[in-house]
Amino acid sequence: MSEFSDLTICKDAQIMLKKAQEEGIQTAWDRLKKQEPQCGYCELGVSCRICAMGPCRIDPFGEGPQLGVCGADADIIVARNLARMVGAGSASHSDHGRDLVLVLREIGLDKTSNYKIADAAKLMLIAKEYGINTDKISEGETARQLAEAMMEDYGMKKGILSFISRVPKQRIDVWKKVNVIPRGIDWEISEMLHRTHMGVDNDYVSILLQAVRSSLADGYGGSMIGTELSDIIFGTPQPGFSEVNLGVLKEDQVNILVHGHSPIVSEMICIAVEDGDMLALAKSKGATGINLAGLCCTGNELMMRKKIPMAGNHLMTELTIVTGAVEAIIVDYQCIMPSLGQIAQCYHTKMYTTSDKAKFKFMEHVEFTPQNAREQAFKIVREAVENFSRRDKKRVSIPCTPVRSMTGFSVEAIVAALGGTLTPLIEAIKAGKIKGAAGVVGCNNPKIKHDYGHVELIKGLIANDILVLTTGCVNVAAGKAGLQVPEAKELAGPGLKEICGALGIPPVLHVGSCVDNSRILVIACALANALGVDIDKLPLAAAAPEWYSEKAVTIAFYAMASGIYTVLGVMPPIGGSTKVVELATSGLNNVFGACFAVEPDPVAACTLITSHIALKRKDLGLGV
Amino acid sequence: MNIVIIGCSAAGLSCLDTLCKISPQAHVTVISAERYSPYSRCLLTYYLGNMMTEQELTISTPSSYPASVRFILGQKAEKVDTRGKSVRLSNGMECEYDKLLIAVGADAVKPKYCDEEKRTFTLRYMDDAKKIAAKLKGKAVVSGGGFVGIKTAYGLLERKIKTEMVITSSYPLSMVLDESSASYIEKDLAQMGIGIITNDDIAEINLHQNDLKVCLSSGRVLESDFVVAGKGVKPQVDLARAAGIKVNEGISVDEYMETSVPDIFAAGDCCETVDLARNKVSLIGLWPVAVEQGYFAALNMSGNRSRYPGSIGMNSLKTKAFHLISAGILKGEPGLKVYEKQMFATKQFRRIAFRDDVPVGMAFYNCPEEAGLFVNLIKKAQPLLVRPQKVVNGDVSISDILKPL
Amino acid sequence: MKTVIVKPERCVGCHQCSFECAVTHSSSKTRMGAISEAILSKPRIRVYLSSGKENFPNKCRHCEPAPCEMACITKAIYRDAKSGIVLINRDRCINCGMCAMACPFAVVRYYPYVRNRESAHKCDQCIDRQAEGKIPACVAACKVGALLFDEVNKIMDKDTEKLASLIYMGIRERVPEPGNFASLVAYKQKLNEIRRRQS
Repeated sequence: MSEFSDLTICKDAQIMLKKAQEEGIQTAWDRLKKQEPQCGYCELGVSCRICAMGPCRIDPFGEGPQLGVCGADADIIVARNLARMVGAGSASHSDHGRDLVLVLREIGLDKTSNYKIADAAKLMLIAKEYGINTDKISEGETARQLAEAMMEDYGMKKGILSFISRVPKQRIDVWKKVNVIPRGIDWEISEMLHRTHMGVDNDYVSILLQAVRSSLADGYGGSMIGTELSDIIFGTPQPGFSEVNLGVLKEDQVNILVHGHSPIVSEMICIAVEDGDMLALAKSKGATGINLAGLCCTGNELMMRKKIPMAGNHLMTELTIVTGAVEAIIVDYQCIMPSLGQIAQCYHTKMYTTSDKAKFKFMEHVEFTPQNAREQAFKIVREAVENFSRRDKKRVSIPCTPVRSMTGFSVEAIVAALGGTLTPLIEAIKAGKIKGAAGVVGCNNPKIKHDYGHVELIKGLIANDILVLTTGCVNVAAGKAGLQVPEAKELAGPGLKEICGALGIPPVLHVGSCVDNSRILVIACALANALGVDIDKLPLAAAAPEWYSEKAVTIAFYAMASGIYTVLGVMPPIGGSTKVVELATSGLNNVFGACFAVEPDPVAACTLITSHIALKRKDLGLGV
Repeated sequence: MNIVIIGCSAAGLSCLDTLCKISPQAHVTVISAERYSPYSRCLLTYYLGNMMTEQELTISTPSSYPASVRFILGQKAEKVDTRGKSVRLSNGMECEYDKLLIAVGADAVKPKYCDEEKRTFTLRYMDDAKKIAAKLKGKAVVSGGGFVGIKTAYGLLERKIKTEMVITSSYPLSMVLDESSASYIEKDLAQMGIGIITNDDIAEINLHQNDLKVCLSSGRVLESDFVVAGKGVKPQVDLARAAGIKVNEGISVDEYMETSVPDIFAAGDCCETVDLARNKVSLIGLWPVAVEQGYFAALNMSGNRSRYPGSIGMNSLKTKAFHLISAGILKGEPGLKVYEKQMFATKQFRRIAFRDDVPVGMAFYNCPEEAGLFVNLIKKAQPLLVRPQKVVNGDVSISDILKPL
Repeated sequence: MKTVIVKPERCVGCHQCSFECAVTHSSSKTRMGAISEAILSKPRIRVYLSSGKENFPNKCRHCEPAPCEMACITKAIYRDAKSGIVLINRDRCINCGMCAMACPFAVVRYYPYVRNRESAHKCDQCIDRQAEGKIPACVAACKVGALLFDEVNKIMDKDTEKLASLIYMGIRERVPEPGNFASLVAYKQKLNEIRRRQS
């Protein structure tokens, strides 16, 4: 087992990795080993595949070529590659948000009976924010008008994103100065692709500023729309308890997993598994019930709203199949490893794709539309239940019992927990009981010991009285480590412990999926507005200790551009350009009041964040 | 088996090292007239220039060899008795041999005016270098524009000695280079501060109350504190000739490095072998070639019959300002066609001479990287399948050159 | 004795071998460290492209006898008795250029290795890595089997002396295998054909 404890800190993962090895299943860790050493040029970002005069690469050791065929040097190539990553990440979140806009419009046009408005109050609030006069129109009409106003955010009619109004004035001035206020979500993303075409933008600073702008189009655009509409359609999350780790799978029940990011599909599955007929069918097959659990961010969406348990995060997805206890996995899009279909072939597990955008080998495609979603969900759940009889009981291994975890901390829920305003939080920060807050977000990456980066950093932060907000794959890591229950206050510093005790909340708050990083932006903006200062003056920080995806780069970019110091646990592919590295790790400070740091060691990353927060407190005249 | 090696420089030492590897049971006696541990003769100018110490010149120590190897240093081999198979040393000692290698090297050519009393030296042995080092001061005249002359002048320059070179021909390195290649070197030498007087020679040297006057054929008189003559070398053949071994310019050997007398081999600067570029037997007084010959002599002396393919003249001359690698013949033969590529911006040139599509000579200036490739091509005398100008331009990948070989 | 065997027909020209070579010969031995050192580490293996668009990884063959070792006037170049690897004692090297002149494979370069000191650079068959039980960095980096680390004798046994001499030249089979890169090979052959037609 010791060889696996080098790979992951999670007991359930270690046991499953051993089982995988015994059963000849290859996981991301095995495949990483086969890839190593990975391409050095790509790791440093000095390879370019943008055009067919290439592929080109710059020799970082000075003996070989220093310019691509087009004449681009290392700085340009690194900047272009990084900017394209940001553009892709922004596109992913925003396209996810677009799907929610489309569902909202269908609801408004009364073209779907499957989806309804769950939080009408929030619909009214957001519609007002969009300048829609809701007084004389119906709920449906409001939904339609809001959806269409949001479509304009995606387009080029408005010239500025609506949610920019939430940003403190000082911050907007910062953005104005360098011309990075996002005009339209799709606009910024396609301009990003345009600028990085050969022969367009060849000033690395200018390229990276557009990357900032397209990241803001995500944070204050696509992602924020995604979060707010998910709340409107499926309900604004409220605090409550659920469970995490592979132990949430039930040996005597039909286990169905949802994987991906959008709640549109998983919410429907959630309805289908609770259906009486389905339950009866399950019982007829010898199961005691139907058990639904989540993976990755769609799991987070369900957990936040429906308290559905979570089986695991990104690196656990393959291992859930290895338990041999999963009847079906329904995926939508993003972060779904193409290996899953192959691995499922080795078990009885059936896999379903649901989006036209995301199709996989060895998975059955069941297209979900707002009109047929319910029907399709029932079809899949029925097949999953029927699949229970194909389960090979000898190969089933559920390695542990689940851990309790608290969830549901939407902005509204946090404000409610504080008694209606942010003032108690501000007072606690001023009094030094809470030194500051940090968003620990991001993915898993087999290059970093699984969940170690997350858990160690969070433990360090809360011990230093820093309130931690988690999104994405970090939630499962923190939940499994027992950090997301009110009792975890014992691990916090005295001040944070007192506040958590008084409010009955954990020191590590589950605020949602990765699009829900927009919730952190909303809180940051609200705090800054309440204090009348810019965000970069606040004792805040962000960290992505185990990030892997392009979306994470985008999140890091919009956090930094919002004035939040961001520590990355994995080096982005920029090492080949000293200028870009210098800009990212210090130069940005002069523009945005925040910059990046790269620190793979979570203990050192914790020191970076605590000293940054101490500095910000000092500047605000607060006790350190 | 008793093996005696006379001479303990490149060829002798290479032969000894090879024997130790392939024939460890042999008893080897190494005789050297010099009293020093084996050292690298090519580095004497570095020693003179204070760029290396005497210690650093030493390339091997007698104590590092197994007991079967005996060194006799500071004794000259006086006579070889080919019938009795023994060598008599200057101290009267007799060394019997089953196989003998004569690797006594070459001596510096001493012009008429050479006279240590008149502080005029040649530079061939450690003792020479020490004598010159003792007289180092102020100004120097170096006569001869070959590799030794230039290296000596460069060494003296490193010691801040104002040096003038007197060259008989109209440009330096005239034995190996053509005029236009040499013009680069002439310019670089001048820029480093070495004076060059061409088309002239030393006629006479006079010593007047400790002042040295160097009179040139042209009538010019140079003031100098000392003079070093680098006028080439001549093989030491007296020992071989007296023993009845066939001698032309150097000791004559067959392709197995064996002389006209069985069991007596010769290698290094004292013998003559095939020059592959010129396609005739000649003297190639050169460290790497001597090492090769010593290696092949060892193979054949120990019964591993191996044909020595011959070599070519080549040299590498590196100073702070330039790096020249030349090999084979670049001029002075009918049918030679020279292709060149000059890169003025980087002060580089590549020049390759062809005889019927076969590369026979080259000079690379400040671009040593691929030089060995062409040296090897010249040795192999294989016609190139690609256009020579493209090769010279560097437009042909080395894989295209290497693959057909 | 194991050595690096080059199979050029399998090379895809990714240059990872030279990259990892430079990293492994740097002082930090990490990528980020290596590219920010004051004196940049340099690769000892290079990938050339033939006129027929075939890739040709070229490195020191550790010849026996080694022309560079024979040409070295300071005896800075020597053969490690145990491993047979031809090595350079950088402190003895005076950059005279003799080894570059002698090397028939053009693998010697001259670079600074500490402040104000240059030395000849060439492959050391990763003797340090081998001491740690690892294979040479270039072989570890090669994902397509163009660089192998194996017993020379084992491969020589398989065929005639001709094959052995081909290995000495770094070429084992002259006919490119179709393998996984069939379409790439076909494309390159097509390019070759067009080139021939034009000339």
